[in-house]
Amino acid sequence: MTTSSTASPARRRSDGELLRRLVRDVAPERGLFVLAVLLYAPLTLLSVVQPVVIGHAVDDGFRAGDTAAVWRWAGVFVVVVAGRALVEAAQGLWMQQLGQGAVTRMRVRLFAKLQRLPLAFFERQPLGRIMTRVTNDTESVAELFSSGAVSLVGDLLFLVGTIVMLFVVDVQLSFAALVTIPPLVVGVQWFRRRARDVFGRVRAAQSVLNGTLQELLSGMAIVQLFARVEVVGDRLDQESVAYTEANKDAIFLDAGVYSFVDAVSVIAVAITLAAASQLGVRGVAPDGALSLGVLVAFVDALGRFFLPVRELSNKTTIIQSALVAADRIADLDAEPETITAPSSPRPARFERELRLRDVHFAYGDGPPVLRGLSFVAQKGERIGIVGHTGAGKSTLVKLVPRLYDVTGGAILLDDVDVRDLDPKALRRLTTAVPQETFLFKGTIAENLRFGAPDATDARLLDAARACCADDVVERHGGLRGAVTERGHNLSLGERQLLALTRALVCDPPLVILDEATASVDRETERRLQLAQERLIAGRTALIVAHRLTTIERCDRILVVHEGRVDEQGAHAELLARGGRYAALVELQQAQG
Amino acid sequence: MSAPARPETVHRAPDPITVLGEPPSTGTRTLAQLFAPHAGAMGRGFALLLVTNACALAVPRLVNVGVNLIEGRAVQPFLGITPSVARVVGAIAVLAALGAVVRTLSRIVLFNAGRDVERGLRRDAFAHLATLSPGYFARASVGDLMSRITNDLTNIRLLTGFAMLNTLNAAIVVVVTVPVCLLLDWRVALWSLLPFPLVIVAALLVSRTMFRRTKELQEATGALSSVVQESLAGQMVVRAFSQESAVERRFGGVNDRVYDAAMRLARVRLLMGPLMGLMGSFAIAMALAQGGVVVVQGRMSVGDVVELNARLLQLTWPMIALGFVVSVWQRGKASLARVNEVLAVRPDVIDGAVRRPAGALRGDVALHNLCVDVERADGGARRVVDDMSATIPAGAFVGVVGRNGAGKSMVLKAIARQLPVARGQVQIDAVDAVDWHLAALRQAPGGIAVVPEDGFLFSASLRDNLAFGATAVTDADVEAVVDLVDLRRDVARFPDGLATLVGERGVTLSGGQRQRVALGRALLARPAVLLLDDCLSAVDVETESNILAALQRGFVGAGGIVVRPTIVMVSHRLSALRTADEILGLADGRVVERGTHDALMRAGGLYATLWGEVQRRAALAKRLQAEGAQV
Repeated sequence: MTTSSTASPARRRSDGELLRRLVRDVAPERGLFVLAVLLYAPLTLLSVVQPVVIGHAVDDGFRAGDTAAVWRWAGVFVVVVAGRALVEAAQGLWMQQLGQGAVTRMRVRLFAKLQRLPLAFFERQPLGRIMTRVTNDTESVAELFSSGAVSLVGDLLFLVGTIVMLFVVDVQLSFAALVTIPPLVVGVQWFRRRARDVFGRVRAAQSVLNGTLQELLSGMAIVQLFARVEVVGDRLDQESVAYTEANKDAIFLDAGVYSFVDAVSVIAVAITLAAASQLGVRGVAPDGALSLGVLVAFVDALGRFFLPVRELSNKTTIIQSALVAADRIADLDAEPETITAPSSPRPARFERELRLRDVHFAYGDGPPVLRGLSFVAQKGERIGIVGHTGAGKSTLVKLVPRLYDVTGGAILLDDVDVRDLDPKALRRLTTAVPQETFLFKGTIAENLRFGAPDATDARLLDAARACCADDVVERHGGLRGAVTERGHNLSLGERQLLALTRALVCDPPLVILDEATASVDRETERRLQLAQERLIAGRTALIVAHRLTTIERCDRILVVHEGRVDEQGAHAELLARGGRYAALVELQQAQG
Repeated sequence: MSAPARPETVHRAPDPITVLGEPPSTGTRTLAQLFAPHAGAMGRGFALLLVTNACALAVPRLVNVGVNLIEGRAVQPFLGITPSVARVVGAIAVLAALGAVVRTLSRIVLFNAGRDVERGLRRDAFAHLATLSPGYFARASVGDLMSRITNDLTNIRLLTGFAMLNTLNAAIVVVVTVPVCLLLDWRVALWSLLPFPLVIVAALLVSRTMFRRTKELQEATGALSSVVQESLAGQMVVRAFSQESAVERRFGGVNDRVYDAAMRLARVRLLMGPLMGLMGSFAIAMALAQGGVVVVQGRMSVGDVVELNARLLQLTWPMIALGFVVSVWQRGKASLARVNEVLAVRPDVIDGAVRRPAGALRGDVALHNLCVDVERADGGARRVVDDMSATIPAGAFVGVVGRNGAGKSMVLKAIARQLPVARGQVQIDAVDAVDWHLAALRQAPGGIAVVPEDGFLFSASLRDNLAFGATAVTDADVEAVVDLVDLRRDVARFPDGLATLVGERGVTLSGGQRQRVALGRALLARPAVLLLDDCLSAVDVETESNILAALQRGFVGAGGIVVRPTIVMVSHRLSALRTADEILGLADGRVVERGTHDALMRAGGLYATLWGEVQRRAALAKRLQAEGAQV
């Protein structure tokens, strides 16, 4: 999760396009959106009118000696500030609701997209990077709303509104006070440009540092065994220094812009005082045209005017990183989905045979794995598939249920190309048991029921009994017993038994089993064999076999070599032939 | 600009195996100890804050004077200077500029000190963790440790930077502003200051709620991450069982939880802003109404009200900040306690003082009645190696066999000092293992090297991974080891050869490739003692025996030096141990037999049984073959 967000700041889409996409995500709540935007008008008005009220209190009350007017204007002030607080709260909440709603929908969309992307996509990209799209990047976009960066619009309206108000109240004094704006803009721009670099550096340094830290903690044993503690400690500290230094630069900029804006606001007041003294106050100076209330209103307005400017650079930084994130999210949205249901799928049936016809396959741009593999499995037949590591056997587990598409040739179920079937219907007919067992966090029942959500508890227990997994279930607290992430609370053998049970619960006519090779103790080994036997009993089975005992039970054996069927026949027949199969068996014996 | 917070993982108390007689750890830190090295910076920061506040707090009075002058009132000379609008304006400008510079410096000094505290603590925490044995890391989760070294350090930094600055700042502002306001007109001032205690209380409550809800949001986000991670890691299964929509529903559930948590947090935050603003505004309304009446009565000038107004604005943020400081303080202390829990863990493998004389170890290993206990889940101890003795002379090849759980790996861990052993049980080069300086024992070249079954690789280039443990290796050395562990063809297939990034952020290696890289890494270190823990289980038999034969013969290691290490090898693959000088058969932690392959076969014990299992399978196949031939 740590190695993510700043990889490449280069964006492919324009600000406008990304904002349009964002608005499209907000679209389902268009009414609320319009309302929230419209509320900027009263919000701005109620903000900029406050100094005017104070000015009136001074002129009509203080200076006129009218106590009633003082109370009246103080009352108006209270109404204005209370009204503003109300509008601000309501508007903020609605904006938030819009933003979080949009981000929530965005996540659902991305997650669903990931379920549809070809598995090849996951082999191309590290898991961490894909995770980042769904979690960190959407969070960056959400930050736009949660940090209040979206109120940048409101801030800008407030600034413009205040300037307009000042000019309405007094043009000459406005010119004087707003002399400070050009240097302010120049100064803030200077900080902003630097801030973007520095904050980028902070995030990059942080991600490097956390990545290293995580890795060193995970591999501490290796670090210690090679007596490298000091070396890696120094490296870590160097990264820590880089992170600290980047942060110190950020502190400098942050403190600088804060103080700079603060100083400009004070100087604006000073300039206003100077100008007011030149203009002269009505009733004091001989030809004074200015009312004291206007001066007070200006002093008050200038005190508030600069507050949002201080936040401006922070907010634009957040907006920048949200746009970068939105761009990467758009990339994921644009990933092509290759394995899709045909528009008019043919009915999925498995009555006669499974036929692989000249199947070619390669992972992405990688070397070919299968190069013209052909065979037919009759219904009810058990076919063992053997061959050297890397011969392409395990690929079958992925190709038949169409987790991947073949790159050449075809896989036919009762003479229908699997690509013409609805993948869901196809996968109801075939259950694949990959070599690596993967259990989900949850209960044992949830895991066993994974492929057949309607299976009753009794059915689950029957299947567990059949697969010699009933005592596993019992030992871990029954069907409601907890399975931790990836089944780490279970032993390897237990996991494999549950995976076989899970497949049995689906009761598929065609099983494709990739036999696990990891070493387990003899008793578990025996039970696994038995469970496997029960799973394939009475079904058509393709077994990528590693155990001799398994192979012996098959009706027919295919020897796959370099992506093709090299030999096939019954076990004894193949041994007698003394070819590659016989050699493989010999090797198997030597390995023990 | 603070680091984005990460979801906190549930804290599990580290629970070390304690061995009597260990020195107590002095690693924990108190707040005072954290502050002490930065006392100078704190002092400078406070002085700078005094100056910047002096500048800032003088301005409202100058504005007051300016307004009074403009209104045509007589103003008393100040320090002998007769005030004029020009002088007032000039003074304000000078104070603004000076204040800005000093304010920048004060923030830099105090915030930087916070960053330095963070960095120092990070370094110390890592250095401490590096003294803990693998047993600790097996119990503690990396996620939890990461959370302590990132989130908790952030909280501690905020305590030393943000909390310090705002506490000092608020103190100065309050001490100056409140009396000055009271002096202007005590009744008006009291009315106007009325909302401020409420601001502090409200900020305190709000910041607590915000903290709680932030945590809720982090937890929800953490749950979301694990659902995404799990479902992505299990994509094969999800698709094979057509469970995409079920997984999406599950994701939808946690996603909604994130939405709810985000909205709950947003509600409190979005109400806080307007609420605080409103309270500040009420103060100003009070000043306006009460002050106005007093001005009409002629006891205050308009300038005084302007000054009061400005001072109330100056008071608002420090008051809000003070509320936040309280919760930052609480969080910081809680975080320090969590970091201290890690720092307080005592290492169970204690470094000795004996350093290696120049050159390599000879490689003699002796075990005398070695016993190893490990902690059971229920807190008790289980003996996994029981009364084991062996003398392994330099250059010998010793195999260790046994069924799963017989304690084979633990023997290797004890020799490598990865777990605590009692004095007298393990000797290396005739020096008690307890007395050896760990780094000296493991330092390449000529130390002890261990190759575990699942070789952990770093996200670095293949070359850097291979050279990780070695010092001063040349390209030729690396190339030689690539051939030695039969990686040549694999390297040729990687996109950038030896420069290819492997590990988390690079090419994912197969199990066999990873094992061979891990072995290569150990061989480049030219070890005198090589401990192999079933480390070629995913490599085919032929390659394994070739590699082992080379090791037994002695190979040309880095720098052209011939290395013939003492080898202790655990293996499930009996054929690999056929040439071993001695094979130890382990059952339930005890050596049940020992001897060469031939002797053990004759003895007909455990080894012969294990070997027989292999043979029976082979015989079955042969019988089938014979039958097949007759058909």
